[in-house]
Amino acid sequence: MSVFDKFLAGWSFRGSTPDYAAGDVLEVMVTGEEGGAHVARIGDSTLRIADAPDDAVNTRIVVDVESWDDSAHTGRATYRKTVGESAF
Amino acid sequence: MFAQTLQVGGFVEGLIFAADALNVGAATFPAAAFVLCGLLATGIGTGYGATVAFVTLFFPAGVLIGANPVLLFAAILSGAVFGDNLAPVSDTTIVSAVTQDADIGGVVASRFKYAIVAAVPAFAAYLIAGSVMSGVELEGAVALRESANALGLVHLLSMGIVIVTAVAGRHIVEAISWGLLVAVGFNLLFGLSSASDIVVFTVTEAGALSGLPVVEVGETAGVGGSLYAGAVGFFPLIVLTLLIVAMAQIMIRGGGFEAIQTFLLDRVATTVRRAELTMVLGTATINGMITINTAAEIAIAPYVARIGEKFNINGYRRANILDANTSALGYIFPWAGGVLVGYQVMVGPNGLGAQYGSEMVVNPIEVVPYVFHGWFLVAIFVLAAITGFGREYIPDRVSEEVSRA
Repeated sequence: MSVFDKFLAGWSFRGSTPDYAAGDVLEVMVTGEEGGAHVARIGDSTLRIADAPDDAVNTRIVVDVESWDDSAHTGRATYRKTVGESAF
Repeated sequence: MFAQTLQVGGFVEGLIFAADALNVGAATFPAAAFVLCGLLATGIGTGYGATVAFVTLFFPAGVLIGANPVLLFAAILSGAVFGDNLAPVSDTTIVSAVTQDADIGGVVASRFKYAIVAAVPAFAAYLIAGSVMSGVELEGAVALRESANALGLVHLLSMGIVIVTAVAGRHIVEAISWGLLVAVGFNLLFGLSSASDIVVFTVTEAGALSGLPVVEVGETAGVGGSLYAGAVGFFPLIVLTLLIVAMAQIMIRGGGFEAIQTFLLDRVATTVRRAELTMVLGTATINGMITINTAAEIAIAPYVARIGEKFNINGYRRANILDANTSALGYIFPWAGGVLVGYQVMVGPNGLGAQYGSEMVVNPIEVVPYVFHGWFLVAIFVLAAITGFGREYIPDRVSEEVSRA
């Protein structure tokens, strides 16, 4: 990203339920577990993640989005790799 | 020490000359002070340092030409807020970035939009308030105005050297040291002050060294001059700072902050909008209570990180929420460190009050409503949390490598 782009980033009103599409590759923070599966809450949208390590909560991982429901703002994704952890 | 040396070197008289020459009147002086102090603070990265320099140097010049002292002090504090918030070398900027795993350059670029959206109406507010609020009558003001001296403006170069050196990446102590050396050189070269105005050793009996320009014979032995007076005036504040940082650590280790975090995550921050409002208002509350804003920022940073991460809020956004309130509220309330350092210049030994009279001393409680940029910055972030202005999520973009150097 150029310096100019960095200054322009975020000049918009962003909704609370971001949507994604099948095939997207995302870096997300794993925020919890629901029904035995890991989840990443992105704003008020929810991504359920398959095949993540047991201790994945509060780590940053890269996932492949498999499906996404625009009306419910939920989706399913598959764990690809761990790239970091919580800032604290 | 730097500011005091510029003062004995006639910088105030130079500014009075410049204000007359440029037709900057009493009404527009606070707005000009806001912009110039903002530029200095952005350059040197320390809002406290910029406040001390401007209260010592610009404040008396502005009051003498008829600007309202309360509004002028508030405008200087607003400039300090702007610089503390935006400067890449500011301690609050660095803390906000590294505690949220974000690179400093990216953080500064991403917060520019919030800073400018708050600064434009703040500038307009100072122009309007400046034309409405009247100044004070100072005994001897006319005589002081007649002392205007263009030569004192050479110290713009002294300040420029500090800014350029700091922006070039040198440590702020080194930058100010270079500025100090140049200021002393100008004072002696142009006859703006004597050597004994800068540093003087008073002895009770004449001796082998009493012929030196920095040695005087007096009734009581001691040390004086701008270098000494500038430093000694801040020792009480240093002690206060240490006590407050100790108090904050006791609060953290007592477990109170952890209990608050659990309550916030379970009961309050249940949607992304409420999470951001919690971060904004929580940061504002902690910074409103703790005098030293960097200490407050360090205390609240883990909670901002953890609450934000629970909603995948981007590190740049978290850093901006954290630093905006830290910068703003560190210069508004009477117990805030930024206000106290400026007030200390007014009431300290050889302070403005002693030099010019009590009209040159502003009661810190009076400036609270007029620190426009600080208030607007807090308001912008409350609105940003509600409307989503500037909101970014972690998947939107990844921070570059975080430098902790």
